[in-house]
Amino acid sequence: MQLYRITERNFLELLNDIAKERDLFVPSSSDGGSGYTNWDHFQGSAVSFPVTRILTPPKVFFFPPKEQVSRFPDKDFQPERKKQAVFGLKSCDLVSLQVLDAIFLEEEITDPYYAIRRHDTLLISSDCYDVADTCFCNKIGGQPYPKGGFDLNISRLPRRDDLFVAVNDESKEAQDLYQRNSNLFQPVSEELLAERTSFRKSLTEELDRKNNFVDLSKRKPEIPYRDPIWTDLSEECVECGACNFSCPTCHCFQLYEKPENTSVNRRRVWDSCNLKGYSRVAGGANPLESLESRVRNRFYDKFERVYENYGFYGCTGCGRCTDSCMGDIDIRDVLKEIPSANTK
Amino acid sequence: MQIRSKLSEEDIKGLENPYSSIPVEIADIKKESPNIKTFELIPEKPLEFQTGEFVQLSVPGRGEAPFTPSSSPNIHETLEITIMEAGEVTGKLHEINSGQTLGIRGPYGKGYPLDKMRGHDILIVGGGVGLAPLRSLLYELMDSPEQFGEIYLKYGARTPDHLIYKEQLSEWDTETMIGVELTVDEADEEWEGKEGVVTNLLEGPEMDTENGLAVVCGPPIMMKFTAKTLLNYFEPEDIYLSLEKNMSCGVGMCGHCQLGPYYVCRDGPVFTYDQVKDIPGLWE
Repeated sequence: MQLYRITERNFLELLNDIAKERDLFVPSSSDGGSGYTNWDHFQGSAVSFPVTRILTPPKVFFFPPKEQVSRFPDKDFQPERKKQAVFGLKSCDLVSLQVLDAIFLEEEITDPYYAIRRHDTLLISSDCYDVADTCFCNKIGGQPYPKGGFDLNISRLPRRDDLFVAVNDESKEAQDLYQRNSNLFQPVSEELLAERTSFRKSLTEELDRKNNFVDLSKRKPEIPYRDPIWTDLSEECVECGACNFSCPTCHCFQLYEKPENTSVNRRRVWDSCNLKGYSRVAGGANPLESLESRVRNRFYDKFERVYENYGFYGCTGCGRCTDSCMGDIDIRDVLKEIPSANTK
Repeated sequence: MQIRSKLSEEDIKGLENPYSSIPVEIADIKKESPNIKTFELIPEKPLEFQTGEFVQLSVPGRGEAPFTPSSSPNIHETLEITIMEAGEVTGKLHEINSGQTLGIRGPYGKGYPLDKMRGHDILIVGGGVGLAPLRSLLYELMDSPEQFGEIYLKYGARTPDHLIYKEQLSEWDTETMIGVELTVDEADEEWEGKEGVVTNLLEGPEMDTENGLAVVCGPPIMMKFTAKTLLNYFEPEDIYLSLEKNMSCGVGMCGHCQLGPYYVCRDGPVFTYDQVKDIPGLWE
């Protein structure tokens, strides 16, 4: 990892350079409550550094809410190639991509749409600047700053005008960008490095203070089948699916067909395991008929099914589901209550 | 942590689209029972499958549904799919005629374990339309009978009229080594065979169960009780069940067919009883 300092002005220059060859997306605002804006429509004089993860999950750049996946009987329908870059991703966002990779990039069958976007997207992350009330990445083995998985990590430090840049050695694209724009970068001082270390430590401590419960990186939740907690949750849940749609690792979708002139377009749209029709089969049988079974299933999927299949959780501790829940369900309250066992 | 996918630019260019169907023409439709028809299909290009694997068949513009072909896996130019009228897609399929074009993609999943079956006696238990994938298996077994031990088929349906493949059943019984035994839940005046559920045919199987295995396909309630009965004679890892769930993508990504730690489309649809016995709510 090569570390540099960059002024805000030069940072904009760098983004301009990136935007020459890619569709670049930047945070719409710094509060994290909104989404991303295309650089071409960007009107501000300064790019926002979201203090924590943006509510819009990064999966939208790789697995959009709705897309066409084939056309019948057209055998040559292919995913479109388009280079893109995203700025504003956080540590938990990068972790979520590892989860989606496991699901969409299986060895036997690969999802070409996800694979192509993942291949063609430059990832520019930044350290967290604050801890949201719903964040708990520290309990899932994460931390409020990325350790890898990015091309560039560009962060702001408190009371500093200049920005801190990490150029990932493992990324050829990042190395090329640096070579092409090396005049924009300056060496980083020991003092700045120490400041970053100390700020990262203080944020980590704050996360630990706010989340004083079992460390799920050491203890794996064991999701009970029948338990009063699912009944309690089903009384709070309003079955809107917001937890699924805001979740950066939820990947369920439904294929459907739409006739257009002489052909038929097959599309996929995000689906939600919270909705009643999710597992209904022809003839009407529905294994997840009750809301209790559906709220349980979401926890089972995140903490058991994904774990058993891939060796990590389908949860990054980002807390978006808690932020977006209409029924005020806090995922941490559930994790505090259900039993856990030592991880292998 | 991966910055990008491990796939090379070449890999990316060579990716196949698993969501793309090829046209398949309906050559013939045969009525099997009041609510079951067999469709003989000619795909635009030969479709190779292993017995027990499934395909996604679509009525263009209406949607797709998963089916396990009921024909021999050793015939590639045509395939047969036996379909019970149950939901939207199957309802539409029951309305259409020969000559029409459907879409097909696949095959997907893991089929019957022929390697484990070689040299052993095999008990095949079917209920209703569940005989469809089992017929494909029977064709495969009969293509090289010397490789397998004794084969027994126990098959039950609601009424004599609801039995499918009636001609083949009598042909298998009289012209092959397969021991065929049938039962119906409700007999009519002409029915001379047994009456009652299919599990009645399983008490004290005439085969070498210690070295044999059992393959079951039928409605959930039938499979539940059949598996329970078979456990008296077979090891849990020697009982094979075909499980059915809501499926959309067929390739382990859309999430719908989750069953405990498995995706039925990717890890099944054929599972051993041992694999699934501890999954709570298995038969719900």
